[in-house]
Amino acid sequence: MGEYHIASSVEDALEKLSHCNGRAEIVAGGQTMMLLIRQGLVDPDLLVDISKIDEIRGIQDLGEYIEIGSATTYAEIKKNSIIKKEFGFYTDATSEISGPQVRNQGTIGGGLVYGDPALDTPPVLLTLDAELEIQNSQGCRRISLEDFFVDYYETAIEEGEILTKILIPILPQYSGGKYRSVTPRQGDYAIAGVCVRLTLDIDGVCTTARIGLTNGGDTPMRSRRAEKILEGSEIGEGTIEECINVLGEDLDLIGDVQTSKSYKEMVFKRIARQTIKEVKLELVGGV
Amino acid sequence: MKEEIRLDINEKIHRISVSPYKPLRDVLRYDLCLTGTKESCDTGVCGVCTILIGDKAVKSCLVPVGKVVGEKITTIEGISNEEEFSLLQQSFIDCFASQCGYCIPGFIMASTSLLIENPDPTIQEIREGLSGNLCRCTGYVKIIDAVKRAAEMGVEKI
Repeated sequence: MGEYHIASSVEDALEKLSHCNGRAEIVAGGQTMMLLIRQGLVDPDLLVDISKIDEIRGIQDLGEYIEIGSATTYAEIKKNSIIKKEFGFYTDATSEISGPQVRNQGTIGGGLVYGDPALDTPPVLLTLDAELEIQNSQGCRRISLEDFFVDYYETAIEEGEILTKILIPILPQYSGGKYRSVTPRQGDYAIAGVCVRLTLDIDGVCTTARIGLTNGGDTPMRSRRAEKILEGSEIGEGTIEECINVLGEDLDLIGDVQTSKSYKEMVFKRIARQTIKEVKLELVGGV
Repeated sequence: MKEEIRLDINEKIHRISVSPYKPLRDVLRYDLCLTGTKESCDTGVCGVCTILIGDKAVKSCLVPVGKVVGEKITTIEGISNEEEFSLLQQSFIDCFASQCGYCIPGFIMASTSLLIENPDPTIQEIREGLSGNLCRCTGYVKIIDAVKRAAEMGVEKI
């Protein structure tokens, strides 16, 4: 148990971190950090609170990108009109995060740095090809969200660095997506979650497919092989079945007391099939 | 390490000496004897420790007290006076929305925040607004009725 510093700027926060020999932790909304402290998993000498730094809060339309400050809360993201217009399925997925109290405090950056494969929205951001901006005392670096997730609760962020921005490229025409999860009750952790984002050309052929998975393995992840099956096709029934089988092979599941491995796999396949069909229907007019 | 911390709780100034990492809930209950805020799951799931920071409902077990210096905090003790219940509290009583009652302060605080943001919620919006709170007795129906009734009676009296 140590000191608590509410940082006034990113520079101020970096400065504080540099004086603590790795004995400092960053806190934003506190929705995960408080759990880690209570469980004794971290015991910092200093907590640097970045939640009140204006330069890393809020959502901006930069033309090609939507930029979200890392200390923006889930509640702010959920009710933001730019995000709702550009990536409505991200807004919908944000509504699945716990309940309003946690969304009022929890931040997008905190959820990403935590690296928990069970969270709902990181796989959605994977399907959107999000990139991250990370600051350290030397300056700034960019990394794709996919490269950011390294292993179970492990990310590419280094000691003394702060995740500052999440950049989401605007989707091309004829794009759509959906996140679907199965949870024991509303707001609970998902047994399985699948996000599908498709971009088609005017002939209805899929040019880009992204499939993000919640609780599919050690990190928030994509099923790249399943995506490849959809790309270049018109996403007919046969292609979808092939895609689902490959997705099943990409899963790295472990059973637990509530749900067996085989049950989880069945849930993943079922919701993936349903979600791919729904996204396609959203993009292609019916007869 | 303890620090001298000043808090604005229910429009009163409180000065305490505590570790800034201590959860706000424990400060409320054990340092300030504001025991209307309950404790249960310790992990941000059950919602019994819900309080307001400004107009926003948060779970006070997940808020380090160092974080809320300079913020306006409202607990269940702060939404009514000794003579009169708040409109929402009265509505919970009138609708028989409480059984064992342990979860109710959390529900009242979450509902208060919900009605400030959305004075005329649909049943579905009430369900979603209260999805961060668990009740193991009532089955929620009467709680939702109570919030709906309070909304119909007018938000300005909350």
